[in-house]
Amino acid sequence: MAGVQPASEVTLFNGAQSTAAVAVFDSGSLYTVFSREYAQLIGIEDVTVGNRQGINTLAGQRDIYLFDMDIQLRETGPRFGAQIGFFAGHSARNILGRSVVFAAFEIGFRESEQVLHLRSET
Amino acid sequence: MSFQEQLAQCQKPTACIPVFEVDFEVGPLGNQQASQVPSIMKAAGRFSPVGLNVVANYGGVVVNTVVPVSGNYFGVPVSSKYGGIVVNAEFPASGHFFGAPINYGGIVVNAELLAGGNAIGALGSSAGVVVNAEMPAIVANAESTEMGWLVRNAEELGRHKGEWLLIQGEQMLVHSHDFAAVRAEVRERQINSPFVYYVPTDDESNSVTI
Repeated sequence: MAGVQPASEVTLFNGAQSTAAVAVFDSGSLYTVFSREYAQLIGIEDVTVGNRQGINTLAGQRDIYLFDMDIQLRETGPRFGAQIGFFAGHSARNILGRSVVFAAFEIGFRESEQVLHLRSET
Repeated sequence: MSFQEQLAQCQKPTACIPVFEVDFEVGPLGNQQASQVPSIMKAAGRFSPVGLNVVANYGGVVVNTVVPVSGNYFGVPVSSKYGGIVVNAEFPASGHFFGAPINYGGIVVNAELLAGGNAIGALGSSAGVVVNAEMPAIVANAESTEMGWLVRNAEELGRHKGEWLLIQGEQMLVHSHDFAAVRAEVRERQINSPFVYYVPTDDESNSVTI
């Protein structure tokens, strides 16, 4: 379905390095996953040193690589620790999945007004 | 329906007692005044919570309250959920907060909500009611300058499909199909936390990614 996707500006932190990105909310994804290039922006040149996790997608099986780092949703203020995944290759979208964002926030959508509700569960 | 009538509708009358009286002052750290059952929070003084909360949930009532809030916190500085009522309240907030002050049948009357910091929320959602409320900048600085630029220029992004964009402030510094060009610019300018966005191609936009 075409149209605006629910998305948030996020910042990833790896030690002293950080980068801002836009990621879409995807309740169909267990993991929060970013394209490889964002790992490079925060000093992770080789994402395959992370904890490999196979995931099944409609496009087939893919591997992601998990790292412990901080993430911040711009709209919600403080950053928090999470396991963030990276694809080994390029991905057109960054994904906010259930294990990190959906577990931390009560989320609601109002499609007619293109409004996204976030409320901390912590 | 008047405020008095709302009070009269309280489902648990024995719990409808003023739990916080006049001149009550709370603060500064970790104080939480939450009323999850029908009750009244009434204060001519000032609540100064860093953290949470003044909450009127599940039939709770907040009356004539001034709630200056500063600092980072999650949640809702004053929420009126599930039938909660907030009357004549003033909520200047400077700092980060998010939430929906009035949800699920909550009612706010004559409230002034001033958000000086990052705020995201929805007032009057899910059948909530807001009457005579003044709410300037209830969503303020919720997005960065760069994100704002991206949103404002969304229609122009079609010219950059398949490209990486490096945005700083109100400027697009680099657009390139080659991510290395973006990285080089980040290094050259010594940007600490670069805002980088990839514009999907048509094929990528229509595909299921995960």
